[in-house]
Amino acid sequence: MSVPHAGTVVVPALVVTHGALGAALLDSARAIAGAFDGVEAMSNEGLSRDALVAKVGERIAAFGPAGGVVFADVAGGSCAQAALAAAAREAPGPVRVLTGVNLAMVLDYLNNRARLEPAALADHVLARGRSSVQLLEAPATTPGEGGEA
Amino acid sequence: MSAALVRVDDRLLHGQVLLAWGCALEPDRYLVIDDTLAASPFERALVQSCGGETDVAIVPLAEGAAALAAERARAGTAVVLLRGLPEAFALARAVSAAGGSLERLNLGGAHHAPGKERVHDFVYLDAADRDALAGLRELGVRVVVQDVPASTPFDAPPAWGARVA
Repeated sequence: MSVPHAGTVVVPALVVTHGALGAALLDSARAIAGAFDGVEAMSNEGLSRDALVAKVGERIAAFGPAGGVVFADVAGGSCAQAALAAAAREAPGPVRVLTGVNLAMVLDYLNNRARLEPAALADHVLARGRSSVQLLEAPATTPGEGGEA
Repeated sequence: MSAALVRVDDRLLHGQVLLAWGCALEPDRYLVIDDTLAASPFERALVQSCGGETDVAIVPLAEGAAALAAERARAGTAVVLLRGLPEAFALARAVSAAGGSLERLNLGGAHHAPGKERVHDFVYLDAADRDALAGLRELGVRVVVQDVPASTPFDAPPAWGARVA
């Protein structure tokens, strides 16, 4: 099902991760973006391969014909495999699976889920996620130089 | 060279294997012995896509002993994955029947399922699992319980195994 939110309809999402990472990401996102709904976190803790696929499949089926987005942590991990398998088999609508989920991706999803369809939203979030991973280098000048306090 | 690890894990190739064991052992390839994956082109492609630059071979259980023998003759190392203890016992019997032996088995993940009883954080057993453990013991296979390289391994207690009459 698409989720009514603040008078509009948004693309639903599921965050599937090892341990409590997904729940922590959503908590951190709330600290920045404020309260939201339409996104659920799920852990693979204690679940076999088949049980995880079944559990993810239940959530994906609830997305409805409008589809949704699934975030997973590690590419190649059990969460990503379960998401892809369930999306291919259980989804009644278009479901996109994104791996390497980070806070920037969750925030980008929240900011754009009311205006983009699942496929375009996934592309947008993917670009944001990739650009958010950077090797930062100190500027050439050091603090105190050039009139800095 | 040989199999660096022969592991029972109901998640087969997944994060713990790829990122923890994979980084610790740096295998040249993964060999997944599993009837379900071998029979499904979709599942096979899904799992094979997870290996990154490391090759992933998938064979049915009936071909497991031959694949393991062939693996031992190859250069480099492999991580071998099986879905459950009954499958591992079947493989050990086939290896034994061919004149070889499966000396050590890593029990890394046998999660909860209906009818299974918890004996450890990540080990749940039913009658078929206990029968397989007893059978593995009879074949001289040392079953070592360890989910990731950083955790402390221990031998599966004899009490976990019990042959089904």
